[in-house]
Parts: sequence; structure tokens; C-alpha cells
Amino acid sequence: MNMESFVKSLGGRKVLTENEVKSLLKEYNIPTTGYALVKNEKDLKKISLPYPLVMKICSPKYTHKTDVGGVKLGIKSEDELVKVYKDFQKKFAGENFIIETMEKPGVEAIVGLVHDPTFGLSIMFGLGGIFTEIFKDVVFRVLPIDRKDAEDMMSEIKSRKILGGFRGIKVSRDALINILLNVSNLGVDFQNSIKEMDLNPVFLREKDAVVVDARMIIK
Amino acid sequence: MLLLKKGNPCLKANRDLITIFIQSYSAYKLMSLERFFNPKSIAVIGASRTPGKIGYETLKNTLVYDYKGKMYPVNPNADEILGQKCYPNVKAVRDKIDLALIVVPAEMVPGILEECGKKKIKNAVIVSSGFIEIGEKKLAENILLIAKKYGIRILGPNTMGFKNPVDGLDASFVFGMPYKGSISVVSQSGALSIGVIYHALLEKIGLSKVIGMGNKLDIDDADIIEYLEKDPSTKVIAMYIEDVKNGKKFLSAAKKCSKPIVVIKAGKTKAGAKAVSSHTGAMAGSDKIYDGVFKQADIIRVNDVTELFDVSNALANQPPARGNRVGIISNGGGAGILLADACSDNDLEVPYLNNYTVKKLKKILPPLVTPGNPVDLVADAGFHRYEMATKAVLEDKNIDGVIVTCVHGGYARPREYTGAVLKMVELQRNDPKHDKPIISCWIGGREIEEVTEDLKNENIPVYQDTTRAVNAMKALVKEGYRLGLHSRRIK
Repeated sequence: MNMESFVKSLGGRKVLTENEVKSLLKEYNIPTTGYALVKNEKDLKKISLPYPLVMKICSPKYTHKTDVGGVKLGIKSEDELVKVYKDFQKKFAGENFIIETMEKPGVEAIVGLVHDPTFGLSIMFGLGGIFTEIFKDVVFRVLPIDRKDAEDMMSEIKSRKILGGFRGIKVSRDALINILLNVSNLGVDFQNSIKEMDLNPVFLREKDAVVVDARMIIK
Repeated sequence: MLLLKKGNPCLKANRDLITIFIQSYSAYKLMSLERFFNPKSIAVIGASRTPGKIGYETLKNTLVYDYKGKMYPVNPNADEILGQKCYPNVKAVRDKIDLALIVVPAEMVPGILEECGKKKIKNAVIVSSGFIEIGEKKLAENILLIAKKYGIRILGPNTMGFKNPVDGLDASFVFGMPYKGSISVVSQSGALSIGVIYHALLEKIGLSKVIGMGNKLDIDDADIIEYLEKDPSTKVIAMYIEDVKNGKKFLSAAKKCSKPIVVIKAGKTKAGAKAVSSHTGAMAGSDKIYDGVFKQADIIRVNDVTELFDVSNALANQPPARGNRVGIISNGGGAGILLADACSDNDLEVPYLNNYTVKKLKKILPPLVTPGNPVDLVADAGFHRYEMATKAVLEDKNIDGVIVTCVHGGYARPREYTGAVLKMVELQRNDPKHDKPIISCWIGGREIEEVTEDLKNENIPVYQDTTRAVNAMKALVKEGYRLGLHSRRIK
């Protein structure tokens, strides 16, 4: 993927929208939710994603979507979808929205990229929610990483037992390793452009893993 | 491109030439650092007649040890300092000069460096301060330009210089020479490296080089790692780092380095104060990333000078462990249990001994004592019990390393125990069958301290407390992992 032309296409904008990040993730075989961008009511008819669905505000203006009431989970029918859409339109006039498949939950993880002034682009991994926010239980590696680095990262976090079958919780380690390695590949290609990226949460499940929400800021 | 594809012979020859040039240039660069730290002739530029001045102390230090090279003090206003003939400038010296020790005021450095360049001096320590550290960026840039023009490598500026105990050379302005040994200390802080030298002297730990990095204007941490890796007298690289200059170069040099690297990284709490708008950015701060870098390169991170030496000493003077299973030998319950606790806190196992070992131990222990791990040799143990028990546990297939401890109890005979350790380390060092680490933990004040001199004189690592001993063993387990001797990754 050509980063220069991609960045040019943004016309100076620094914050990518969720659909933009997810399209980038797809290019690198990083599994995400199904999604569709909705610019007007007609677009709703074209949606072929299976219910239940999720609707989110999709705008570079709103990076913290939940805080502004810009996320609606568990939409069960087309009627409900139209209702939520109209509601959102009132709240966020003139903005686009993203409709997504509602994923089955798993262990919540965070995978990120951040530009470090000394070492360059670095990858972060940790478990989501309070593990990140309160315990700061995250680890970093400088890009690029190999499989051994990815495995080390998983065994280095304090809450690593959750990844190893604690109380019947099952997580596909391979699916997680693949995400880490593919994020590394993406980061290497874009290392001069990315300032920060969050894949948060990533649901880690028994057979697979999926990126539920994503954002990226470029330099 | 087309030409390349067709294998144009001209171009290929050119490419070969370029490759040869690059190879010889990097070889030259490395060679020049070798000559840098082991020069055959030195000019002290700014040598002073006044005791206490840096220009006087630097010259004096180069003269007081058994350095065999030639010395040329440079001072236009003196004929002789400390019995050495003085020269007005480097041009007046007729012989080749390998290293310039520059101790003139900062604003004079560019002129002096020009003179060095014309004299074909390729190595310079700039002791002088007054550059980037006080915001004089222009002056520093100017110096770098002159250095590039003449191909001069620079250590500093704003450095204490370096000490090379192995070759008896003190090229610094601070007095004090460590014992000869195989640990090389690299420090961004001059003052700390001086503390380090005296600590090493007290603990009788030998050093190979002590290098003050200063502002790292030219020679940086990665260059030093590459040099020390090739340096035959260095076994362990011990570093004090405040910040790395070129992160990617550092990581790559550290990853490639075949010798163990131990690092104190200061500035843990100085979290990245930049504005961040993502969770990842908020978590980052520089220290977490440094932590990741150290793990990525299998660098052992420690917290203070004591730990730096505890770990480096073990790495320099004991073999790496082939696993994480530890056998513990003591003359009293307490120390053995504390060691076992510290082992389990540090991912080290204290497993059951195999039956064969238990049988051997039963023969040397009083009838009512059951041998376990830790092995309690009980209060009336002597040389024989310590020797036989250490040997038996060392030979146990379930054990990868042994910690021998002695507490200064009423009946203890510590000198007999050090005797046993001396004998066992001799066996370990000469017989591949006993090639497992032996760490000593001797607890009990001044009298014990005296006894441990026997061990220190033979470069056998000995520690005055249980966590320190376990930390040393942990480093040897990590080193075994780094070298691919086992697959137990320890935090």
C-alpha cells in the first residue's frame, strides 16, 4: 500500500475515521467487524450486514464516541436501525455514521502503535479495560517484531494467565499473534506517517480475534 | 536497473569496489576505536602546571600507572610539567600521536581540533565542558564538522575520559584505578562512574574499561557496544544510560552483541509529557518503551550500582545456567528458606533432588537429618560436609545451579566453607561435567566479610544477602536463555 498517496488523499487531516482505519486493517489481514459507511438514509437500504448491529458516529471530530452518546449497540431490526439513524442525525447534524456487526464478546485486549522520538514506531499490547487504565499492564516493542517478540509480549503482561486458560477462559493465541505481526507489518510500511494508533477493544475469542474499534492519528 | 539485471561486468566490478570500500571503512572505524582505547602515544592538550587543575590531574593520571606508551604534554607557556618535556602545539611533536586528550576551554576546542586533524590524529577525548549541556549547540556542531572533515573520532565532550586498567592507562582527570578484570563500565555520568570505580575497588571486582560517554557528540552507545564486543578483555558490558541518542542503531547493536549487556536506565519517572490523544500514547512514556527495547535485545535491566555489579560480576565470573532449577546449601534453616522464597519470587525453581543425590547426602549428614532442597547441613557442619554436599548437588541432573550459603551461627566455621567453595569452583572451572554456576551467599558482618576475601581474590561472586545472591543466579539463567542453552524465559 502506498502511504504517501494515502496521506495525500486526506488533504491535511490528521485523524482518520473508523472506516478508513478498518479498510487499512483489512489490507493487512487484520480481522475487523463487518462495517458499512452511511452518508444518508438511502444508504441504510443497501446494508447487507447480519443483525444485531451497532451504529457509531464516524467523524474525525469525535474521537471519544461513547462520551458524546455516539454509540448504539444491539440494533435488532431494520425499523430500529432507521429510528436510531434519525436520532443520531438530530444529535450530529451533517456527520457520517458507521454501521457494524455486533461481535460476540471475548477477552478485551488493546493493541496500539505509537511514535517514540528515540526508537521510532513501537507496538503496544495489553489487556483492555481496567488492566490498561488502572494497572497500566501493557508492554512495548520497537518495530519490526517477529513471532518470538509477539509471544514474549503475551507472556510479559502481569495478567498473562487470562491468555492461558484461566478458569475456563479460552483465547486463540495464534489469532492474537497474527494480529500483532500484521500490525507490525502495517506499522513498518507506515512508520514515517503514524503518530498513534489504537485497536481497542480487540476481542480475543476461543477460535479467533476481531478488532472492534480502531482509530489512528497521523503526524 | 537494466544494467544491473544484465550483470554488466563494469558495474559489478564497481559494486565490488564499493563493497570492499564499505567493509574496509567499517573495519577502519572499528580499528580506530581499538586504537582509541589502547593508544601507543598520547598528547595531553591543555596540560597545566597547577595541581588541582583538570589539565594537571589528567597528565598526572596518565603518568602514575604502568602505561607503556609515549606521552606528550602540550602547553605553549611551559617547558616542562611533572618532569615531562612540554610542546607548544601538536605540530611540534615529531612522532605519530594516536590519541589527543583535550582539556582546553570550550571556545578553544575547534582550533585545537583543526590542529589535531592536520597532525593526522584520529582519536580525541574532549574533556572540556560548555557545549550542548549548557545550550551551546553551534559550538558542538562546529566541532562535529571539523571531526568529519579529518575523520577524527570523538569521545565527549563533557566527559571524565576513560580508564583502561588492563593496559594500565588512565586517560581521565579523576584519580583512582580499578583492578584488572573483564567487566567494562560505560557511563553517561562521569560522577557516577567514579563512584563505580571505588565500589569495584572495595568489592575487589576487576574491570576492563571505564568509559565516560559525556555528551555523545560522535561516539555513542551503539559504537561502544560494537567496540567492546570485539574487545578481547571484555566479557560483560555494564552501562549507565540516561538517554540513548540513536534508538534504532542502539537496538540493532545490542541485538547483535554476543556478550551480555547489563543496564541501569535512569529517568524512569520522567514520563513523556507530550500531548497524547490515544490510549497507546498515554501508556507509552519513554520508560515503558525502554523496558521493551531492553527485553527485545535480551539486555538485563537493573536498578542501582550494587545490582549492576552483583549481576555483572556473576556474568563475568560464572558460567551461564542451562535451566532455572536451583539447589541451595546452608548451615541453618533461615537463610535456606529465604533463598528458596527469593527464588520462587524470581521464576527460579527449587526442585526435589534426585534419589541418587539424596543417598549421597545421607552418608554425610547426622542420622536424624532428612536431606531436602534447601539442603540443611545443620549447625555443626565443617569443610567436608560443605564440599561433599556442593559436589553432590552440582552433579544432580535436576539442578542447573547451586547457591551455597553460610550464616554466622555460633558453631559455624565460615573459613572452612569458603575453602569448600574454592575447591568446588576450581572443579567447575576445570571439569566440563561440573560446569554449572556456583553462587555464594555469606551473611554475618565483619568477620564474615574477612573470610569472603578468599573468594573475592579468586573472582568468585559472593553476596552478603539472599536477594542479591538470587538476583545473580537469575542473571545467569537469563544469560543461558540468551545463548540458547534452554528455553525458560525469565522476567
